[in-house]
Amino acid sequence: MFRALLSDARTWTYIVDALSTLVDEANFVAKPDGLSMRAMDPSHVAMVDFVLPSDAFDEYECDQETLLGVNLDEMKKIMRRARSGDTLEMIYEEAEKRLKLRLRGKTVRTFSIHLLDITAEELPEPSVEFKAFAIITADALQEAVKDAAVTSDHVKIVIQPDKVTFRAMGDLGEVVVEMGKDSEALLDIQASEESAATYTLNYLADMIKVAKAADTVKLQLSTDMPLRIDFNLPGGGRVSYFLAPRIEGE
Amino acid sequence: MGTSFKELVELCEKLEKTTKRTTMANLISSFLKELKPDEIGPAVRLIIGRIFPAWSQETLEISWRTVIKIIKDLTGASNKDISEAFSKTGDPGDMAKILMEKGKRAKQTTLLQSPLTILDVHKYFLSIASTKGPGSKKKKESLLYGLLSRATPLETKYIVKDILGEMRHGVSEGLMEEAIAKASGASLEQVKRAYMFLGDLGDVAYIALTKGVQGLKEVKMRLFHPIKPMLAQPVENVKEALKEHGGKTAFEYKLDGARVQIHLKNGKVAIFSRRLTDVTQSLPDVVKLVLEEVKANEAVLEGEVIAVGEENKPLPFQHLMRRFHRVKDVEKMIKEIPVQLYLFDVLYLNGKMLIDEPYMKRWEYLEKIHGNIQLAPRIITGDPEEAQNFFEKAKSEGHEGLVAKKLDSNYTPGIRGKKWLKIKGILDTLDLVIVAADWGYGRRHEWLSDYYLAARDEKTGEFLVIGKTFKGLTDEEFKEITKRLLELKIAEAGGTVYVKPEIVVEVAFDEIQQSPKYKSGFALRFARITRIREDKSPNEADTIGRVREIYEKQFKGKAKINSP
Repeated sequence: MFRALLSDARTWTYIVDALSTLVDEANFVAKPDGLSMRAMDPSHVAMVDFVLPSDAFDEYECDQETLLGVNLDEMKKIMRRARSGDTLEMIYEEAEKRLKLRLRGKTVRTFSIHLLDITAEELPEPSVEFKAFAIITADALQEAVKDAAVTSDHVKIVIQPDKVTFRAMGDLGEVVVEMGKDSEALLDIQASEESAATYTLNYLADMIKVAKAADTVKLQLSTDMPLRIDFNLPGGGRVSYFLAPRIEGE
Repeated sequence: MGTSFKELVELCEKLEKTTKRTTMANLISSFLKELKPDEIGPAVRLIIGRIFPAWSQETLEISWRTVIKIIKDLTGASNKDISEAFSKTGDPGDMAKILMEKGKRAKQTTLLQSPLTILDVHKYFLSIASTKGPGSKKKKESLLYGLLSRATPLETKYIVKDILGEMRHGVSEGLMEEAIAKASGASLEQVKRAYMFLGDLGDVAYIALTKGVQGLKEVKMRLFHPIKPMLAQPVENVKEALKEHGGKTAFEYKLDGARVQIHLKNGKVAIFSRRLTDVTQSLPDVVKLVLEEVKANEAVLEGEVIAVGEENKPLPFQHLMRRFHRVKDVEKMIKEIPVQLYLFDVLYLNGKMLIDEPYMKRWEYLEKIHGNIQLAPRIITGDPEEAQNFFEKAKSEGHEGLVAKKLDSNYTPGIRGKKWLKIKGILDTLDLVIVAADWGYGRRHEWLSDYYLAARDEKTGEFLVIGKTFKGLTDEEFKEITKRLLELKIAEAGGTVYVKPEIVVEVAFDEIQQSPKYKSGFALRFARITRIREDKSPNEADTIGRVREIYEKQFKGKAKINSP
């Protein structure tokens, strides 16, 4: 059995929004210690790894590992109906293979969705040794991605020991966003060597949607290697993305 | 780990280099035998370039522009690189391969570096097709982007070919049937029969290889899965038809409408077009009629839907097309363009397959169940004069002509044989000027082989395009015309060479339609060049006035909605 309560339904709205940008259908894994999902987008360019531990919920019960295969678009539609101040209760109905989403506010609204049998191969976490990381505010990342999109469809992220730079070059111009040690946006930085790689903005634009639910974000990369972005959710839990780079030729 | 897609494309490369049928069938057969059961269907579909069977309503819905955009993005190719690579090979697949080999600028990598499998590629295509609705264009694009990022140049070549549905390695459906028969030990007839019913060689191969001959024998027609319609060969006149059918035959009106296949089961009706597209939603009036009138629980019927105007005369084909495929304002269109249904065949009735029954027998069944739905007017005769009169009558009533059906013939889905013969007679021909031409594909890639045909506007002297064709010329003539057109070239853009109007050709066609596509307001249906009019200068070409005249003449015996 599985039952979980979040006192702010919108947290879940943001999470579902974030997950649904990469995949249409995926399995949530409910375990006694929390809820998680790992899914790769069909083109294998990006992967999402989501964990919400049991103590991030206001109430949480799960006696055994349970796979909850959902159509994320459907779940997203339901969560759009959540109103500010609503609580969300999720209940798995084993007998009916359904998941109930109960929004409690001025009224009590219960939506149920059919669970799907999704066969997905076990996804290993990409094994990358990161040479550099930067922790910045979620806002700053959002703004940087939007700035870059003004001129290009991809962005080069450079992490040096003292600053992180977003550089986008288009046919008509260039955008450079810098966050140095004196910047309020940059909270921590470390680079054993200057590391830089280019990523497709389409994907980044989708990934930053979850920034609404997070305060800070950790970027990790190595030159021409995948990017890892961790959004720490308030109250525990995180949404991590892996994004494969574009390799620039001559 | 499944069979890699690389093995499949290497097979295709071998097939491309072979012309011997038996060798090709052997190659495919041994390839199929090595596959895991769930790979058989996808592999067959990928080899023949038919991701979806004809009866399926699924399509990739991905434009060539998107493909080019992704290839450009992945390889940094410029428009010039693209046209160079294309004119070198004349084949979009080969072009993509060249560009991917040369491409250097940037490449999207993936998180998993595993090579593509047959199932991977098939799954990508299914996901692309099933992505619908708002935002789907972007999603489709990113799927194809991901697929092509993972593909090698050679794999890209065949992915592009699969997208276009044109493999050009010479594996026809017939050859694939042979290969399936060879791989499974079934006879070619058994494979063909199963294909007629299932309409998907992937399914046929799967059954043949996993369930053998017995499995193939058990294949039945599936209601609501349309089968390909039987086709008719053209003949000159009724005499020829009588001769071909042994002196006596059935002549049915060849109604000027759209052929439909109607599936009925316990109060549920689906209507499919000649191309097996589901058009049920556009024809609720026909659905209602079938439900009310047809005296059967289960049936597959064939008939013709015609649009009618005043005095119940048929309206030109193009008006009918406004009804088909329409899902909005259907009720309004029913009033504006009323249609009538004529039935002419029954292929399945209350659990019994009828396609192996003779034509006469099937007609008898049809007569028992058609209720008040009209049957196609027909006569059975051995008298040429009576037949000719019947032909004239059909023409005068605005129909296309006659179809002769051999009395003892069975129904052969998808086959254009001599059991059915069509007699149409042709309209006038027009002398038109070539004003532009497109480079050809494949074998014709070195030639300008698709011509824009124009008539002269007698008022302005301007040449106005009324149609396009690549039909009717010999290789020698293509070569000759290409040379001449290049000398007349004014500009080239997007594969189209614009030329000074000079060359006049005689063009035959089936019908003139009103069309917003061209500035002239007219379009030829099924145009083909019958002669190069060396003796005519562009100024002697036919005029728009003449085109209009023929257009009007078509309506003799037909109702009209509005004139152009």
